[in-house]
Amino acid sequence: MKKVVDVSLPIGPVHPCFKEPARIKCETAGERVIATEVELGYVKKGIEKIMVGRPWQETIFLAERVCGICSVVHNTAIVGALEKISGIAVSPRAMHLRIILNELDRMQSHLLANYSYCYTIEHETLAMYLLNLRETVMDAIEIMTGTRIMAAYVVPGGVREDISAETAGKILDAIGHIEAELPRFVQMFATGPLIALRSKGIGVLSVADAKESGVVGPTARASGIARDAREQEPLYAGLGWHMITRSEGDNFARIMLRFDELFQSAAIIKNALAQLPDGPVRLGGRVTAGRTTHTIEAPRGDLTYDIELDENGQVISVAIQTPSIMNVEVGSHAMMKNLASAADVTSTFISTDPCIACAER
Amino acid sequence: MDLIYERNLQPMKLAILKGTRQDQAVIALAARLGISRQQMRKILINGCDMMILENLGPRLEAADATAADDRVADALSLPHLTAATGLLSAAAAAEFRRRAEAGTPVPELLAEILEAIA
Amino acid sequence: MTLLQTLKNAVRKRSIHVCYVNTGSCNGCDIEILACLSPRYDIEQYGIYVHNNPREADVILITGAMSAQWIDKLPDLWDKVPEPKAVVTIGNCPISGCAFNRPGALIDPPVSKYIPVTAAVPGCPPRPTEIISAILGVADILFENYETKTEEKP
Repeated sequence: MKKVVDVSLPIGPVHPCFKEPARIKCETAGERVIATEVELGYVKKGIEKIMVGRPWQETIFLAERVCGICSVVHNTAIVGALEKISGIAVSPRAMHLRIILNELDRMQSHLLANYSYCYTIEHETLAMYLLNLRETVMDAIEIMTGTRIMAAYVVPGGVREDISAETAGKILDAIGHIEAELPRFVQMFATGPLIALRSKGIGVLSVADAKESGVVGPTARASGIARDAREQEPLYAGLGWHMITRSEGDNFARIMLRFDELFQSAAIIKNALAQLPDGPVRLGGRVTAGRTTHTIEAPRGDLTYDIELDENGQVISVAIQTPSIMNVEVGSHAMMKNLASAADVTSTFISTDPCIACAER
Repeated sequence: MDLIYERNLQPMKLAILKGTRQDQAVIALAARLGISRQQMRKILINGCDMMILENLGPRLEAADATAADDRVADALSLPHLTAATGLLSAAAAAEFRRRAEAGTPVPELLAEILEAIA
Repeated sequence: MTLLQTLKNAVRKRSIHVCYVNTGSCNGCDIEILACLSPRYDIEQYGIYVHNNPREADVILITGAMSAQWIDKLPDLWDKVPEPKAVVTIGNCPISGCAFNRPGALIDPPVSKYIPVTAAVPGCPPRPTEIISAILGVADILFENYETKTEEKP
């Protein structure tokens, strides 16, 4: 008699080839993955709950600590929401500095995402090259803000401190180094036969699945959905931003799209530094009562803060919709439907650049 | 049998549903189906995994957009229950749709749907 | 000290296997641990290897402030690690809960309530160099004459 054994394969939370603090239970038939269930709660801190009742000054630091990888963008998003509520003006120089820092943050996040992917498909050489390149970006961030992570650089009305011409030169040097080094690594990734074997046609995200779960960021753009919150910011178009999309929707497309965006970010930083207007970097203002929804483009996609303040500047309610919520969801359900091999589960999951800390808050 | 790493996830799932964005989504879906928030929470906790619960808002928004130009689906919340949350199988949804188009009154079908997803 | 013991000490000093566990951090400390892997810091030149496998580990790096899911799993994981073993906590969260330790939060710091902690590296987040020096400092104390130490243990 023929007997079929259906297997449930749990991966995580501590697993040699799965570094995220989550647990994916895969239902497999043979080697084929049929469906997955995700178990979370490993990094749930309840940040939204802590923020309620606190003055806005404290929420800035809490918002930064939603995600340690893209702390800059959380900082920018909540400060942008506060400015929108209170009508605080930002000087042009501060806007340019914010864009420079945000693009540096995007570069280090994309490099880290591509590092994680290469590390997960066990291409350690390329992974280490990319991780070392990331250190160059971290140096630029450190020169600019004074620390590597959690800089609290963006404040209502501008930025914390100005950059000198010398600092700008150092940032340009770092960007120049990356632009010189990166094409080699991109070529290694694009033409490596083993990488193609393990990435092309794997973890395909169809447009229908993508629309169903509201996926954002590079994961959506790699499936051909033109969605980028930078469209709404008029300054970006003047600095050379344009929408990058790919149509394949597989692991390879997602990583290559991030490489393309890295070059674009480098160009934006160079343009912003060239056009940097003179003037103050910090204008005054007073935070008032009100409610608003503010969306900006984080490295992983649209980040939305829905925040309500009372007249004393205390938070009445806050909802943080991080891009990872949608991307992790789609990466762990839609992409894993009918995956040919259980060995592709981790690499497919990592290719969406998941951040469980963001997804759970 | 001592199952290592397995535990009751209900309190943690409830903690997810208490998030601001998720809570709004639960209230909206409960209003669609005409049940209380607590009943809706119970159904979702039993039927969905934790990642879907986190992503409830965007998924229901996408379902709203699908249902907007489809009168039957909107009345019975079919996209919300199939594509968005997976509480109802596609075959069952097609059957409910067929019966609604054949003339079965919507309240009667809604009661049956509630029974099916509970 | 016997020759064998000297040899053991020398070898063990260059073979420290690390497993990191995220018990509810914001990823900031985890990324700083990852940065240690990069060729700039090159953690492997000191003989520290990151495996993420508790059965193979000597030093467990803990980031984060003890979320609900870990309360039963972390002691379980600690039992799996073979002797000699040590816990190094990275960042402020495992010590105090940092910014998250407020009424209504779903965390339960400190980590030392659940498993014995050997060393703590404060910082939000600490720099990669501090993490490396902490691991090296712990390893020296931990592995030096381990066999004779266990005999003295009560």
